[in-house]
Amino acid sequence: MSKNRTTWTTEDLFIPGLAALLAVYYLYTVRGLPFLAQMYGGTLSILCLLCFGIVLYLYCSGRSSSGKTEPGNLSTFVAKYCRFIGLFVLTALFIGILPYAGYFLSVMFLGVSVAVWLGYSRKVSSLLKVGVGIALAGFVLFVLFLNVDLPLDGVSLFIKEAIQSCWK
Amino acid sequence: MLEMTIASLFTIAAYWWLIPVGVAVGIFVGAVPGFSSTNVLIMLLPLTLGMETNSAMAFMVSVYSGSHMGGSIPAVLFNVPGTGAAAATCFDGYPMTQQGRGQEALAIAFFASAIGGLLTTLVTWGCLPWLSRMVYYFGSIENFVIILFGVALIGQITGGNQFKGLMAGFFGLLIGAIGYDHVYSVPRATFGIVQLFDGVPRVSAIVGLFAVSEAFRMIEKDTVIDTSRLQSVLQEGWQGTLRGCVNSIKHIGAVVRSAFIGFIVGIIPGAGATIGSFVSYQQAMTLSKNREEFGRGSVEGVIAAEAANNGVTSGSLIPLLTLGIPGGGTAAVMMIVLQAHGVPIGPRLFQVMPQLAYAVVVAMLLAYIVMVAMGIPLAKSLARMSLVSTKILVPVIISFTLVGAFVERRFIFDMWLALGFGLLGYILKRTGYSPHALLLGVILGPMAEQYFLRAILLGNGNPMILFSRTLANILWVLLLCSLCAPVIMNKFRQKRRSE
Repeated sequence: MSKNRTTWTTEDLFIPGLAALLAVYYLYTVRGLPFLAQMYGGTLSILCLLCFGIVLYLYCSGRSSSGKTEPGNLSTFVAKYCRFIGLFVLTALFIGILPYAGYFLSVMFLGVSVAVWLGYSRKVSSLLKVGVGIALAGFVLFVLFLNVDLPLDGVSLFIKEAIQSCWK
Repeated sequence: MLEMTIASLFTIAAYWWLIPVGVAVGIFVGAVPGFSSTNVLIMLLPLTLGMETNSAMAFMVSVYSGSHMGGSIPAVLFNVPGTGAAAATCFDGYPMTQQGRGQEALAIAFFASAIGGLLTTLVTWGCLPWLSRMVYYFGSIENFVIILFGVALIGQITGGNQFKGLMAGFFGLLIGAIGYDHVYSVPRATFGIVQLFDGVPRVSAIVGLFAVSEAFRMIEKDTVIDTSRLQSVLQEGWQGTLRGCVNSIKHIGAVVRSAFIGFIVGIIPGAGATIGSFVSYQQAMTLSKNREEFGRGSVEGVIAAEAANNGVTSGSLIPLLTLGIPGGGTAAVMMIVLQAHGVPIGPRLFQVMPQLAYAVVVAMLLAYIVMVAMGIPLAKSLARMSLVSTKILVPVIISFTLVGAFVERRFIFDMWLALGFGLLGYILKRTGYSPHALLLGVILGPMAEQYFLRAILLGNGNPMILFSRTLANILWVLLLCSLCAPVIMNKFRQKRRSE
């Protein structure tokens, strides 16, 4: 328990809540299994549920003693975290297009879009330099040097095969 | 022993250049989060299989040693551990970078890595035949207690709210329990996803919890370093490196202690450098007179983590060379190469070919000497990377580290998993929970369950089997002391202050 008399807010409930959800699902999936198969994960699930119960109790007792309620405002939340949300979406898009567009083009997309989103520059030439530079560095390191089997687009495949045939 | 060592030196002279090349490859690869010496050695198998046995082993141990030093570079500069073992280095290395002391932090990390590894390799060289006997005494019960040492750290390393640390640790342990059961092979909490049947991949967890989540946090500032310190970093010459070396020498006792903690953990097959570095960090925090500095840029914190994770590399050679037992992924790759060269694997290795064992140890000694010469002068140039704008750093970190998550199993799903862990890590940091505690749980959980179940099966379901062996009971007592020591020492310090 905290020695510092922490004030538990709604945000503090998220992680224990997630752990509790996973614990409930875990207990559901191990029902009917032999005791040894249930024992380890089952104990952890119960511990997580217990911790969630404790955090919930501390949160509720903190709210009832202070008498305050926190204002919930979606637009405030979005305004506070909009940069993060944008970056998360761009990263998800990068992973989504990677198998189809190939590593080089996907990284170019990520580099340019993140630079625009974070306000690096409005000049197309600067943005292209960032995108191509990051994509090239990754291509040389992972594809050519470390020989990682990444999805490649037509241009990258051609460059890779050309370099490998020169090497031979 | 001395004759074999001298003979080894003459053998190594023929391919001496493989050692600095191996160290350079290791440092480079270790610095890329998600990559490890295991990945690179697997990729370079066609090369090492074609080499002569001694030269292949010299190259591989150089890569292995160098990768642990390389892992500290992103850990110190960007709070992104290059290897799992460097996660403990982030605690104090990154705050030092934020304070404009990145060059000093890197010099301390490199010095502690190299000197810690060098000292423990000398011990390995001197005591190889005797230390090998230790491995026989460690079975499932003893290994379970060793893992518990790591689990017990979960509440202690968080620094702030211990209950939140424990909560994150339990959550991590539960995540680590996802996948097939080790005894009955039944899937648990896999959401019907085939890629989770083998459990949550550790690399995705490390990459997501640290690299991706740190990239999400970096966008709040223009540079990693506090703006007030930018000018001093730009004007700094070699002073940072010199300060780092001097500080490391002043704390040489901490270097030696941490290296030997890592060395002992390394001797135990399967324990791993992550446990070694965290145990060493916790011991350093307990024994330090300046405990409040830990987590805020403490020199001892960086030394403890880095000296230990290189002590593990030397220790892990002992079961490999004397008993043919690989302690981890990298050692397993070395075993493949040895088998391919017709070297007898198992306890006969040291009996039939002791000169090979000593040649490997001598190559590791030389690799650490090269690391001192190569690594420390790099601290100044590497520290400048922290001046790069976060608007460029963020896409670089994301694109590079997600490839690290992909490399292990070649599943795009692992990248999605890393992104999910990145979101989780971001929320953990925002709400005051410890991502380190969660990571410890994810890494140690499967190992703890495996050894626990084996021990219980050995005892036919009787849990008292866990207290049936002398060595295990000694370890239980040490574990109890380790848990009680911080509390007792805290009370002792408070009493002294009040007096």
